[in-house]
Amino acid sequence: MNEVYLSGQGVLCSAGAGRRTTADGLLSGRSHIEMRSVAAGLRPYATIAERCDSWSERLLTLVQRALNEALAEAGLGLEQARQLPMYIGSSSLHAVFGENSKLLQQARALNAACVTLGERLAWRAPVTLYTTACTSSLVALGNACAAVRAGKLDGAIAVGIELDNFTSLNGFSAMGLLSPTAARPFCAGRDGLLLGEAVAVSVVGREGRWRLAAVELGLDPFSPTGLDPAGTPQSRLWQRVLQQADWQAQDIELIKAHAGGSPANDVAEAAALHQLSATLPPIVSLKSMLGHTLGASGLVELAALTACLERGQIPATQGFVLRDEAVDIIPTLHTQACTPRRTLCHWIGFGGSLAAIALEDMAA
Amino acid sequence: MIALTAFSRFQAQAGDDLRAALKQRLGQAPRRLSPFIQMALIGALDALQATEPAQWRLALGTERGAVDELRELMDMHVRGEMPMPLTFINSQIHIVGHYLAQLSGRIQCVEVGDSDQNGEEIQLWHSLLSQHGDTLWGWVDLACPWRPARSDWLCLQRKPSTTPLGWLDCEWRPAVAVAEAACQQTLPAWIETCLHDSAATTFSRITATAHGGSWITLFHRNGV
Repeated sequence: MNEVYLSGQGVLCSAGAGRRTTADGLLSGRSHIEMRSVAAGLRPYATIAERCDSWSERLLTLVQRALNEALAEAGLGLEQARQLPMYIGSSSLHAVFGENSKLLQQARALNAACVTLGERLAWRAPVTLYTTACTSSLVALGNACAAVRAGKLDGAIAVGIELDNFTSLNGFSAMGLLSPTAARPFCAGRDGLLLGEAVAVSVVGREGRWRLAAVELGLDPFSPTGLDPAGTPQSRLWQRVLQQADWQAQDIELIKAHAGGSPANDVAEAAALHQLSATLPPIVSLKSMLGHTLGASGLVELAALTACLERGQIPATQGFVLRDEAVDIIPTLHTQACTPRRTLCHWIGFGGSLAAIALEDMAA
Repeated sequence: MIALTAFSRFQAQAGDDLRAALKQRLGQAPRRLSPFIQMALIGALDALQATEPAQWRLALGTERGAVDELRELMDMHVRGEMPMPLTFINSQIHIVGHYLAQLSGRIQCVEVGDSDQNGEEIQLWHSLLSQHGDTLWGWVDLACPWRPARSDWLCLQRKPSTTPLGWLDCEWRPAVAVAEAACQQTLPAWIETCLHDSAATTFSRITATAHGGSWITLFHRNGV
């Protein structure tokens, strides 16, 4: 089995366009938040500042920019990259196509999204779209990793896409999951999620600074919209990740939590964290800055977090002001120096999908 | 290669009572599930019933997904209405994994997707590559003008404890051009044909891709 690495990454999100500006934004507390009108009223939304004349041109432009950044970092040409399978993760790309075109009338929503994007990018290898809500891009990354690890591919391209769409905003709003003001991860005053848009690309290969020691998926069947409050399915997933990576819990030097600011799910995640270890390392959440970018959040948060860590820093978890006894987690309060070798990253998805990654900095 | 330990194909006809079909399998049927979810659960439960207990990675493919629920959400938006939460939940295709996990207790993780082409082979290929030993492979689509409904399922196990129905392998050849598609059947339809063909034990099929490559799928049938 081969070792698998993030050989190159690119990102466009509310904190910046490109990994460098994203790290600038995160470490200095800057993010582009706008208000969106949904049936329940106005809700904040973390947006990518770049605009285009049409939705399809914007989609293509953003993906190409993230792709170019990732390929440059990996030292890979576009023609070479086009020979590699592309794995896209998005909770709503098919809905974006449906909202903006006649593809839903043609009744091929899911298939049309990957066919069209593949054609527009002139991709020569298979293009696959995964949609498992907030863990979508991690399913994409996991399958890319599996193929490289098994020696079936020299490399693969994983893409996370989540763009502004009313299907997601209205759906989350209808279920009362959105905060009317801001995301406050793990805070006593948290009252819901801040959604956001972002695009990220990862080149998965056999060389790089960031080793993917384990990429694992899980499922919490407690309810369609909430997690087991005891955190047991999340704990089981992390045990599998630690086993796969050959780590002990005490080896973990940083945790990138999901922590979206959900009243119930933050409690469930905290319960799992307390089961992981009696003494927890620093815990950071990026969602109050980047928004919860749903299907793209896996690759987006990896690109953003590693960009910060490459500067030897982690950002503050914005929005946290007051400890909640039921959670009993105090995340990073300020931008601080941090050079972990081993980081555990965790995501929670609508419908109970879970994902976790053991990420190792080979330069630390 | 990976063992095929169970196989099911459920093909609903127009007007079929899917809830009744689900109730027949479960004793009682969960309420307010979309036809897509009902179709998926019926086929998956039929396949799981024929296998030993295991924790499965659910790999679900679909070309159309929950297109009716997406349409309904968009219509509600146009009318300025707040969507019904259940409509939104039913529009999320991967929710099949949640319900199947609740009903069977045997689903460890779920992935849902489709590819620009050869989605069935890609999904099978990743079942072979997955570190998770056992994959519940499914393909579900509701009826549309050019195709009947389908809910096709394969139970694939790396180390089966009983004699499997057969063994599957799948390879992508990016550099090999194939003049024409040698097999037009869906993957489950082809496997069904192989299972009923008493004249041979080893079968192969080639499906061409517009990218210039091809997928080679092999099936070796047991129990002749």
